[in-house]
Amino acid sequence: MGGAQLVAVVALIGLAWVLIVLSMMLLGAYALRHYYLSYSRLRLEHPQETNEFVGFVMPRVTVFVPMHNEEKVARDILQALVNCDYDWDLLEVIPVNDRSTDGTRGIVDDFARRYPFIRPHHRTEGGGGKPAALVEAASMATGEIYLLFDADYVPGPAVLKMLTAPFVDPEIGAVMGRVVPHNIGDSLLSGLLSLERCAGYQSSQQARYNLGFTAQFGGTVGGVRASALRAVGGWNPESLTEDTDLTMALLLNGWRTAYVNRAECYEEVPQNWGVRRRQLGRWVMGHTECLHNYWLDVFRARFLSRREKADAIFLLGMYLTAPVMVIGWMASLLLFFISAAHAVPVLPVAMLIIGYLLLSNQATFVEIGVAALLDGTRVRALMMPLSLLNFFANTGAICNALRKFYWNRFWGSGGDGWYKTHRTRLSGEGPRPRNGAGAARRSLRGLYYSDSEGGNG
Amino acid sequence: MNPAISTGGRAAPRTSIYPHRSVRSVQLTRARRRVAWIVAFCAFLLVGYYAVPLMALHSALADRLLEWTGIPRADWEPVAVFPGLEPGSGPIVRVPTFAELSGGARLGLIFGIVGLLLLTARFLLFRNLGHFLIVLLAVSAVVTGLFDTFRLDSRVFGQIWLRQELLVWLLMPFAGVVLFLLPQPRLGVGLGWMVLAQVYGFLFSVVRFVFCVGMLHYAGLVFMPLLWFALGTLSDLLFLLFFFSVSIYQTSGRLWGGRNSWQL
Repeated sequence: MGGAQLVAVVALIGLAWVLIVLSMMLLGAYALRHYYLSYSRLRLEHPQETNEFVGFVMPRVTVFVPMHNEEKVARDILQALVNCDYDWDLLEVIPVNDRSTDGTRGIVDDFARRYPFIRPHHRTEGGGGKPAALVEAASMATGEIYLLFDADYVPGPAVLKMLTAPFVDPEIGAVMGRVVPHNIGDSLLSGLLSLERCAGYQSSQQARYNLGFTAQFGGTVGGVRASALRAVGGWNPESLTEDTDLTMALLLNGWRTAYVNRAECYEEVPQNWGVRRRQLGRWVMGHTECLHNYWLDVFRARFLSRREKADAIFLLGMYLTAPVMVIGWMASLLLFFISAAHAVPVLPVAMLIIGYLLLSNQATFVEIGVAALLDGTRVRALMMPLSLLNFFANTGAICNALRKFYWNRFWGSGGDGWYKTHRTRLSGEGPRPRNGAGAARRSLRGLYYSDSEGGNG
Repeated sequence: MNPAISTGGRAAPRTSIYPHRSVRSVQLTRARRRVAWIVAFCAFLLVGYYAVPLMALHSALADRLLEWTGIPRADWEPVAVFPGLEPGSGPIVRVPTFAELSGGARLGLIFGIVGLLLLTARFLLFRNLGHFLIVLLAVSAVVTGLFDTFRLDSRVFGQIWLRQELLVWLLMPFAGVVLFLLPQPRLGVGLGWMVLAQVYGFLFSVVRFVFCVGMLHYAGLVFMPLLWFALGTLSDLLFLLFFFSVSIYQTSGRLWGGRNSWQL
C-alpha cells in the first residue's frame, strides 16, 4: 500500500469512527431517556392524578372539530359529543367545516338543527389546513377552555370533564388526553402503530408528566385555556404541527401542559404504509421546524430547569435520531469493507460498542413492552418483534421527510403543505347501541358506534 | 390506605372502584433493583470467568454442526479474540473469490436481489429494510467483484464472530435485567427468563455461525455483509425481543387477570 493510499485508508477509518462515536453518543442519550421514562412509569413514580377534580370545575368549554371531507366519520364524533355528560348549557361545539366538497356540510347542519349548542363554522376561503381553520374558528368561540378533537376520533362520555379537570390549576395552559387506536386488527401496520401509540402515551407522556416535564399537546383529545392561547399569540397557521408549536410557546411563556392518562379517546390509525408515510412526513417536518424555531429560546429560558430544558430539546430533536442512526450504519459498513479496520480492539472499547448496540436498540422496545404490560395487552404484545419492520420503515420515511425539509429550507420553497390523513371508517359501521347513553359499542373491527337518530336529543 | 381497596402494591393508592390501566404500576423497590443489578453483575463475572471454555464449547458445537451438515472444513486454528485472553478458534474452510463462484451461487445472488425487490414491492412496510439489504448485497457484489484486495477468510470471520458474541454473552445479563428482571413482579420468573435467554443466545449463536460459514464456503464473501447485519446483532436483538414479548404476554395475564376485555 502506497503512502497516499495509506493516508486515505487511515482518514476513512478515522472518519468512520468519528461518525460512529457521535451517533452512539446521541442515540445512547435517547436510549437512556427511554429507559428512564419507562421504568419511572412502570413503578408510577410521583403520580400526578387530576381525576379527583373531575366535575369539580365546569367552565364553559368550546369543542372544535376541524373537518375536511369527513362525511365518513362526522356523524360518529358529533353524536359522541352530544352523548358526553358535560352540561349542555356550558358546552359549545364548533364543527369547523373547512371547504368540504362531500356531504360533511349536510351532516353538520343536520346536527346543528337538532342541538342548539352545535354551532358550525363553514369555511369557504382563506388558507388551508387545520391551524388556519382553528385560527378562524377561535374568533367565534365563547368558551374559557377550548377542547379539540379530530373528526375521526370518538370521545367517551366522560372525556370532556376529564380534560377540563386539570384546568382547576391556574398554571395549566393545556391538557392532553390519551389516544387509543380502535382499528388495531385491520392490518399489520395498524396493530404495530397501536403498540407505538401505547408506548407514547401510557409510558412516555405519563412518565414525563409525572416527572414534572411538560407533556406534549397533541392537537387532538386535548384542550387549551383560551386566555393562555391568546397570551402566546394563538395557533400558528404557518406550522405543519401547530400542536407542538403551541406546546413550546406555552412552555416558554410559563404555562404547563398536563397529561390525563385516564381521558382515553379512540382514533383510527393509518392502515397502509402510504397513508402512514405522509402522516409521518408532516409530523417530521412540522416538528423539526419547531426545533429550529424554539431551541435557542428553550436554552435561554431562565425559569426552566436544566432537566426541563434537556427534556424539551430531546422532544424537539427526536426525529433527528433517524438520519444519525443511518449515518452510523453507513460508517459501520465502511469499516466492514476495510480489512485494516479489523484489528483486535481494546476490550473496554469493544464492550462499549456491543453494549450500546445491545442495550440502546432495545430501549424503544422496552418502552413499548412496559406500556403493553401496564395496559394489560396480551396477544398484541407478541407482535413486538415485528415492530422492527415498523422501525426500519419509520427510519426511512423520517430521513426522507428531513431531506425534503432541509431541501425546502435551503432553497426557500414552501414545502408540502397540509395533508389530511385518509379515513377508512364509515359512520354507522358496527352493531347498533340500544340507547344513546355511553354510545360505546365496538364491532369486530373495534369501532365505537353511535346512531345519529338516537342519542339524548 | 383503606385495606379494603388495597391491590397489594400493584397499583397506586386511589379511591376508584378498580385500578384502571392508566394508574397501574409494578412494584420496583430499591432493594429489588439492587438485587437485579447484583445478579446481572454476578452473571457477567461468571460468563467472564468461563469465557475461554465457553468459546471452546461454541467451537466444538459448531464443529459438530458443520460435520452434520456436510460443510467441508480443513481444521480449526487458534484466533486471538481479545488481548490478554486465551485464543479461541476459527474454522478453516475454502472461500471462493467472486470469479470462482459457482453458477448456483451467482444465481442465488440474482435471485436474492430479485426476491428482495419483489418483497419490497409487495410489502410496503418491508420496503426500507429490503432496500437496505439490497444495497448491502449490491455493494458487496461490486466490492468483491472489482477489488480482489478485499479478503475475509473463514478464520478471521470466526475471530470477528467470537469477538462479538463473547461480548453479547457477557452483556446479556444486563439486557436481561432491563427486559426480564425489572418488569417481572416475581424475581424467580424474571431470573428464569434471563437464564433461558442466555442459554438460547449461546446455542442460537452456534447455529447462525455455522450457517454463515456454510455461506462463506459456497457463496464466498458476497452475502457476508448482509448476513453479518441480519444474523449478527440484529438477530440477537430479534430473539431477545421475541423472549421479551412472550414474557410480557405471560406477565400481563398474570398481573391483570388475563382479561382481554377491550382489545385483541
